[in-house]
Amino acid sequence: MILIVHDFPQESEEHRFLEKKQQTIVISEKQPIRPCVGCFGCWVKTPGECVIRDTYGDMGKLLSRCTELWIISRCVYGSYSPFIKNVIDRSISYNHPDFVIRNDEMHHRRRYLNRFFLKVIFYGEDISTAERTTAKGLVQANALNFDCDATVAFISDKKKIKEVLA
Amino acid sequence: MNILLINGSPKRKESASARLLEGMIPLFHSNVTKTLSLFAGSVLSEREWDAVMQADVLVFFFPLYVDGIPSHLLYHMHTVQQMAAERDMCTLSVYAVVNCGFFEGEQTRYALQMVENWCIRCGFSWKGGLGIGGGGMLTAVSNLSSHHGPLGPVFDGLYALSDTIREQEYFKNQFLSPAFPRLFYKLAAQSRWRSAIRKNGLSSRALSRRM
Repeated sequence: MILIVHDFPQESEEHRFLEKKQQTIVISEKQPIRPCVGCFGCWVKTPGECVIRDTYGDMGKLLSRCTELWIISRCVYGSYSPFIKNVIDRSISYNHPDFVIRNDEMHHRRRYLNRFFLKVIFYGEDISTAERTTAKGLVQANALNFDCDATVAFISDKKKIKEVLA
Repeated sequence: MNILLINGSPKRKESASARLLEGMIPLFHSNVTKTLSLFAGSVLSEREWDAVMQADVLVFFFPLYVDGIPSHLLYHMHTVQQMAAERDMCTLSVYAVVNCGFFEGEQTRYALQMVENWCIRCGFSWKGGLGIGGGGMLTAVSNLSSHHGPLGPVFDGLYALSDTIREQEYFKNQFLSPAFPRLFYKLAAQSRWRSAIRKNGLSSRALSRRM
């Protein structure tokens, strides 16, 4: 299964810019999202699922079922956009709270056995060099934490998304 | 000088960011400091936004969330960028103190870069910050006012940063970890998770539950 998380402000853009294959699940801001409150309930109260039961409460489970995770986000200060970051923050139940050492750094242990591939596309007309450097570092750090491989691309025009994902 | 310390943790209780903020206040001595909390779901009043607009210095305190800035804070920062575009705020200096649960403070480096990138977008002066690892110890160890003990390096960092903020000078980013062996920190954290899940009526095996 391919899991796509995007922040297109208009639903019509999803159809214009994404070519959905079979077995694709799309996460977008169709419903309001509540922020992670840092309670760690997804680790010690309802392990594996977020205690906030809105539309985005099962991100960990969805990640455990996917072979590829595509993130399509406006680049904001070298970060994902606030909505995308909110979805990612609500996904930590994918990991186990215990620590392991990878690349001589502390990270979270795997909860699941699947190893998805992370593809990130940042879009924006005026992404600075500094923001690109930060965004690349962010994706590599995410890949280390999710224990997966990743690629990152930058585009100025959303019309190029299909081309990048092909 | 008008220094505004911003707690950017989403948590209202047991927050390492709040602990660091409170630990820094006495280090400013007679300088005027105000504090502002941006919890998850906070909606700022006009008076609170005015405090941001009127500050000479902003100091952010926030936890690392998935290698970056927590989303609720990112929303607020975006709002400030829009406000900055409408007003002249170019004299504002910005510092940040980021903490993470991992042992190595270096893991906060991208979050500090994001604050720097935000400053460039807003026309503010980025002045540097601290990246603090071992965040789990910040709420577990009581002494955060001494150069000695496991949190000694953290206090040293806050002390050096507060000195620099008073002068509004540039602070080269510093990355810190507690004066404590990493292996013991890892074991202590894992023991805390087991204790927490048992308090919720579940066995420690449930920590590994798959959905």
